[in-house]
Amino acid sequence: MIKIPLPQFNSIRFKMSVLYVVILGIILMVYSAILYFSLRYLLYHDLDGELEAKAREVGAIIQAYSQTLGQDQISFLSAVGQTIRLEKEGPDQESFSPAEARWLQNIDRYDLRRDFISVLKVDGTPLLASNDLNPRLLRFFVKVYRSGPQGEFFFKNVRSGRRDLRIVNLPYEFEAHGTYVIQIGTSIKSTIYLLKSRLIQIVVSIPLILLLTSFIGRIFALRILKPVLEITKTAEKITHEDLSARVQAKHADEEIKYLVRAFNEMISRLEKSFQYIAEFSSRVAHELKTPLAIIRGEAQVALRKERSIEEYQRVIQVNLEEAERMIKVVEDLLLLAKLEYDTGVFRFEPVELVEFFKDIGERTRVLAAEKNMIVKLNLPKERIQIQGDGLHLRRLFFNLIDNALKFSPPGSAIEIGVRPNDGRVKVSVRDQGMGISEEDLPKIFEKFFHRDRRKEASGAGTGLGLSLARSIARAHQGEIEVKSELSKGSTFTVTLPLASLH
Amino acid sequence: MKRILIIDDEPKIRRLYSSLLSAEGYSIFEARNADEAGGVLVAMQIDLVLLDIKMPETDGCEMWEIIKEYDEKARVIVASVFPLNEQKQRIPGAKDYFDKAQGTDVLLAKVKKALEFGPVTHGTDRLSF
Repeated sequence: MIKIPLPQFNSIRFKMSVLYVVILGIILMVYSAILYFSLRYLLYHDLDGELEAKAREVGAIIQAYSQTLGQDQISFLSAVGQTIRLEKEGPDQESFSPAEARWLQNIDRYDLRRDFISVLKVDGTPLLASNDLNPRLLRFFVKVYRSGPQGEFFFKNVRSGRRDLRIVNLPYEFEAHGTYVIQIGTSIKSTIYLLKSRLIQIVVSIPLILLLTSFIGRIFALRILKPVLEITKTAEKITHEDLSARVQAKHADEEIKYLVRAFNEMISRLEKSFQYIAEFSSRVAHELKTPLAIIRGEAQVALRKERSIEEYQRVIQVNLEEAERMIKVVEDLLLLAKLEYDTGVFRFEPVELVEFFKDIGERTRVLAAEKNMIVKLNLPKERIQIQGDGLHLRRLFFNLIDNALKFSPPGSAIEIGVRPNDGRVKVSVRDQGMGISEEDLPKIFEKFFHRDRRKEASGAGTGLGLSLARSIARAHQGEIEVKSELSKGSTFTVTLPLASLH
Repeated sequence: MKRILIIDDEPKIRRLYSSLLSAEGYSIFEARNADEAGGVLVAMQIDLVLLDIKMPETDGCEMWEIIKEYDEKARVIVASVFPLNEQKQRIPGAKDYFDKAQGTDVLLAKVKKALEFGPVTHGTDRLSF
């Protein structure tokens, strides 16, 4: 098991476990708060509805009683007393007035037996109260009324000793007697208990939940990250010497599988690149070894004994030739390398092709004269502009022309044609020489490929000419194609994009 | 006088080895392809062949087979710019191997060593056992 270092704030593990837990914690708290307070609201809402109903009922009964008993104050008091006591003590008459009967039903319905009833004057002085309301408790009731908005309907919780009560304060207007405040206090012990225990549940469970989820989150994070760690491990194993390592991703999640696959493919591409470079390097070394063998050999032989001046001169001459051959190889290679990785080597400017090729044609004729060859030029009448680096373009075309001259028999002709066509210009170099076999055709642009590897015919060729030509063409957004037939000749066609036409 | 056949496509190499070895008293013959080599081999007894590998017309490995046809006991030193282990891979069974970049001193030593003992078959001026 790899040593997992201490969490950094920026790490996935940190984000997954801690941050995630904090966010979850906040969500849980908000959610719990909403649930809790809505529960609380509902409970009290119900309760208050009941209390209000009770209070109104009390008022109604008092009203009914007082109507039967009389209009005066004493009768009123009596009515209040009867209502309260009846509620508390039960009926002591066998037959009841309709009001009484109704009241008895309601007492049971509203479960008033255990409630405290008190009737106050509007200013707060107590009028009458149920017997179980001891003076101390009554004082509370009065205090509650006085603490609230006077003359208005409100509810209040009160705690006295071990009693939790909710008291409704209902100002009730009695016909002919004025407004009195009916207070009913009911025990809310169970409600309080319910809310309290719910709160405790929340307070205890949220941290537990968070702990649990943080733990689970961490496990998941590790599981998901395992392939990432494996990728890291594998990446560390890769050196320029050993690119064989690959990451396994059998059990990973889909997104990670993509990452793993891309990673493995990248290593394969790198492997191929390194292989290519290694092969190339050894090819270069190989090409340079023959000139070196000659230089070393000639020097060694020359020094074995005293030689004539002409001999020494010959040796020096040969060595110079071979040194130049190597320099050409090295320079061509450097240019090729630069072309492939850094096209800043070119300076692009407008080049007019008709002038350009007239000039090239002249020079070609001079070269061709040595072999009695004819040079035909096929140039259009109108001017043709391209964006290019004149120096390298010359290099490109002279590589092709040199090949044409080299591999053609004396007396034959080569033709250089320039044809604009649909936003591009095609330049063709055609010869009547020995041609290229079908099997060689795809290989000719490879580095160090010698078409005819007879050293005499190739002369000082480095084998890089066509490779260079293609790189230059591509750096100009163009391409080279070749058609050839053995013993009949070859045609190389360079396609380049035109600059904006005048 | 021992006869050495140099088979190589690079004229400067042929010339160099030729002048080196003839100065040592050997009789030198040159060939740049299978035809020329065959011409020499059929005309006379060659004591040692210096054989290049990378040649355009006839590959060195093919050339080796051809030499064997003419004279199965022929002594061949492979002389190439390929590294020695690769030379051995391509032409196993040669008498010796020479990396041309090693220089003519090394070549001379190998030639002398290869010619230490006389030819096994029809010797002309040495006794054979």
